[in-house]
Amino acid sequence: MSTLATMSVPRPPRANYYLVIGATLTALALAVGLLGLLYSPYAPAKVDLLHRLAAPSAAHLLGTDRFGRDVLSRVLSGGWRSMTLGFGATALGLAIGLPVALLTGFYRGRLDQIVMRFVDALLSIPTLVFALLVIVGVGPGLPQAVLALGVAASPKFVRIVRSAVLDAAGHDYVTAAKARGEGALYIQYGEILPNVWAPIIVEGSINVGFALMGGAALSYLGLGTQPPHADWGVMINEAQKYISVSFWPLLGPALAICASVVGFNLMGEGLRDRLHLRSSLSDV
Amino acid sequence: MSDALVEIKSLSVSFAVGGVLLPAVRELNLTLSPNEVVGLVGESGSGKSTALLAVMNYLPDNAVVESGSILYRGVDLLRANRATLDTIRGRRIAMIYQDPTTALNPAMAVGAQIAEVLGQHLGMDGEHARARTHELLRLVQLDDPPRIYASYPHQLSGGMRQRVMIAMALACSPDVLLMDEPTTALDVIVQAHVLALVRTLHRQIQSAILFVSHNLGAVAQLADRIGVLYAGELMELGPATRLLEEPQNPYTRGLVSAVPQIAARRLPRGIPGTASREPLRFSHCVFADRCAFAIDLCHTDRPALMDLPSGNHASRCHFAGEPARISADPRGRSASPASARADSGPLLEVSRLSVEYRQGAGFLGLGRARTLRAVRDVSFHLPRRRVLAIVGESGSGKSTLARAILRLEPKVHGRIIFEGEDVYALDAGHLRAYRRRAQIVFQNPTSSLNPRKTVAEIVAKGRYEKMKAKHA
Amino acid sequence: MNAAFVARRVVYGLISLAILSAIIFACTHLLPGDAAVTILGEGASSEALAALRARLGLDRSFLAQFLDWLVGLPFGAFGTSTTLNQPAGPIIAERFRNSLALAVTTLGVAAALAIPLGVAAAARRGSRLDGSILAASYVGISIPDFVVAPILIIVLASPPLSLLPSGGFVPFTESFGGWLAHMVLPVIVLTFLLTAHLLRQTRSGMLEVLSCDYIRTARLKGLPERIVLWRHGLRNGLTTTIAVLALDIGYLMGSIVIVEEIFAYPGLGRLMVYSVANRDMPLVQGSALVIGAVYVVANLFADLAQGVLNPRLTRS
Repeated sequence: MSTLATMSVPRPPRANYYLVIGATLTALALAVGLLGLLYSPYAPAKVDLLHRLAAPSAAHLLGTDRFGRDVLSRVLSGGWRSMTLGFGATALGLAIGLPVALLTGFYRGRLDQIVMRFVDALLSIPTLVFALLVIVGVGPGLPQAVLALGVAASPKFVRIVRSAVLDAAGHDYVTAAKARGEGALYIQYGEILPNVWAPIIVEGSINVGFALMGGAALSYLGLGTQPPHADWGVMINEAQKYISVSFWPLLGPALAICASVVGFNLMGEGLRDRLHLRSSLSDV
Repeated sequence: MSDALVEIKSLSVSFAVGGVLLPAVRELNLTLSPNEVVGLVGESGSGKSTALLAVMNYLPDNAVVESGSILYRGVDLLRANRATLDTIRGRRIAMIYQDPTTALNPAMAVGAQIAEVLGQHLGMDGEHARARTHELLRLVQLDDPPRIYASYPHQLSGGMRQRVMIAMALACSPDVLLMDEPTTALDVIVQAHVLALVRTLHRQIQSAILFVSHNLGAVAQLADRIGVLYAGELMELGPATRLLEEPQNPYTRGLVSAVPQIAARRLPRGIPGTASREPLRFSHCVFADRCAFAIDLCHTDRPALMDLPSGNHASRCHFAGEPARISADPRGRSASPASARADSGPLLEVSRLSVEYRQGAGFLGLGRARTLRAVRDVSFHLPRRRVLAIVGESGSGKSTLARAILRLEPKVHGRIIFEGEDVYALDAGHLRAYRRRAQIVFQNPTSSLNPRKTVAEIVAKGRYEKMKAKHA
Repeated sequence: MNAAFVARRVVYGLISLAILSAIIFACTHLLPGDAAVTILGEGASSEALAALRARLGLDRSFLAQFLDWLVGLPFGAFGTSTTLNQPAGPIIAERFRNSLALAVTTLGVAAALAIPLGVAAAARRGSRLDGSILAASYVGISIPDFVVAPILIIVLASPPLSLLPSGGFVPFTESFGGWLAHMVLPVIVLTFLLTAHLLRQTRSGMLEVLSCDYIRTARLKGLPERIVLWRHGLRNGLTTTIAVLALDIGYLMGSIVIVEEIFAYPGLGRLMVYSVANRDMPLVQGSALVIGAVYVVANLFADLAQGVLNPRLTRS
């Protein structure tokens, strides 16, 4: 039995790898975020001026920052804020984007045209810049950052979900529902929505990662989480001035952010392959 | 068959799916002699396309060739390297594909796509290649070759694209033409033209043709010999006329009687059951489960492909050579002639119906849109309990007509009267009532059923609505 | 390529710009708290506040203010910066030039790296090369710029190496070498991210192209793989790549904000952060608009280029 030289017809990538690694990292990130709400080795604000900028040791697993505060504790306790930014922004983006996409995808016509022109214009503003625009309107702070990132993410969701809706709406079961005399709301939410979950879940997962990063960026710029509270972005800002002395205060939050983003990304990609997996048996 | 051009010997191909090997083609033996047309028929899943792609050695990554060889002029195509294959593909063995729309490069003029074959294999330079391409386009009965040469695929109709593909395949006068369901994606009338074209060309150019299709009727028009595949196994192989008139295999019989015949005014008969996609075992006849004539032996012993005394004809059946054993049809059936049913008053009356589409909502909803007349001034009436068939090519407006009758089109001219009432004048309540009595069955079962709902949910919804209305 | 197609695209672009400016203007007028208070402070008298408001035109209706601003735009009149007390236009223009230098350089380097790598990865799907390219790109898009930058600063801009300045800017006219040196680190950081992004998209675009039927046709015509890839694959893949490049300009503009802030590079991004933090509305509006406009114009060119490459797209 031998596989002879064949021309490649693409095969779906090994979804399992992505999904497994992604899910693991995501779970880890979530654990850190949630755990931090309940417990941390030290109080995150506890100052210890005798052990400033220390390297990792048994007492401080990730070292200490410029005020002698335990990095690990701060990563844990600040984690939930970063998570809130990620999930909150995504949830908000979907809450805005989903109904709009269903409406325009279902009704089409002039409404669709106008809304899509609007959405296209919104998409030409980079997410971070859009978030800044909203912040300048509502002021800085954690909830404001969630609002800003959520609103900034919604045009993208509208675009993506709408194309899935258009796809589904073209199928005969929607026509059949119309022929039965079903109401518009039912068709959108009862017939079409169950068929567009897949891209929503995929893009949602991926967006959580990027929203988390965007949130950290806003906090880094001083426009997100405000002092004395801290999240991973704020920690990086504080750490970077002392990086020549010790990079540990930077490493802790940096690792947390990277691991989370990679986790959510991989999970999203893994889900994408899983949910759209086609049989590799070619049409005999 | 000592002068066979292509010899498929004992070919077995399986696909690795999710850790399991699913057989697609099993011990296929087939030869193709110069100039002859061999048709390979079978249902979807029979392995015919796999066999065809194997000849070109273009199988997917997860295909496993378990045994066999395919010889062409002494070269085993399954073991040749890419360089060798490149000298044969397009030059000596050429392929015509099922869907001409996707098979042509949308970003390249069609003329260039033909010319590059000439350049690659025959070393023709620009001028010569262009001239020869024009000749080829004329050969496939396309007018105005220079215009076609410069056209992109999207600017041509489906039939024209298929002709371009044929021209491309014939460019280097190959010995062998492989045709993979070349008419399936086309309209019936265009199909007929293309088949006629191939028949004419075959007389002129003298290539051997291996023609794969699930359409027995199409194959019958061209083939000298026909091979019948089922579940990857060759069930019967023989001269076309004889095979169709007196099939020597129960499966072939089933196929032949499943072909609708317009003149006979008789319902075609199907074969009960469906082809199994499970990994099959070699221990019995693959068709035994669905065969009307199967005996115990058929379920325990796999029949070999046996040569029949009439010569040049073989059948894989324990009853091969005993046509009497498989000719009596235990399930005789004929449809009651339609004229026997009593006539009644008109139920549905369509009067001067026209349906228009606005295409392209202009610019941001402003501006002029183009109107497309899908249905123009159609009138007919449909009495109770009668069947009216509306036939037409794609684009003839028949689907639009059907949807209009159910008031699924937003706006129409003319009238549709159901039991004396104008369908388009009904209010919401009466419209719902009407729709309970007028139902639609769609063409594509896959897309008309919501994949996220169970069958119970889908079927029951209608019933539930009915009951709700009754008790409202 | 027909004129109707070009005209349509241009008009779409103009409309997008118009909508963009409306959105931007609306955002900056969300909060009730107004610029007059910000400038004069909480303790200012109500007469002084009213006078300032009148002078700044803040007492007119929203629509009047918007139209006023809009009309001035084509002439480069972006209003007056409330914190710097200078016309906003020239400030924005200068910063824009600096950011443009960063952006163009980054785009060039990233494209030169990502496109060949992406094509190679797609052509050898499933191989080790593909796997490592894919892994690298995942990592690349997951590391925030504000993590990469400090690391680079430590390595390259601090003792013991001190190869490059850790921030700041030297005008082109003053010293070419200095100008260049101050651009290197920001460009590296930006390129890092953009390449990762571009790589993934080029790869998946090419993969999609390579799975198309016409690639099979090309191979079965006996064409060597080299020709199949370049003549048939890339022509269609390029269309996607161009679309992706245009999209990534938007992504780039976003990254520029952070990177300029870290390196204290006086570009549009840094201006934006400054003006948001200080609620200097004219500057905020102006910078946001220019950033968005870059994206709109880039997409316009991308659309036109695609029309040339793939005439099928020029149908309505």
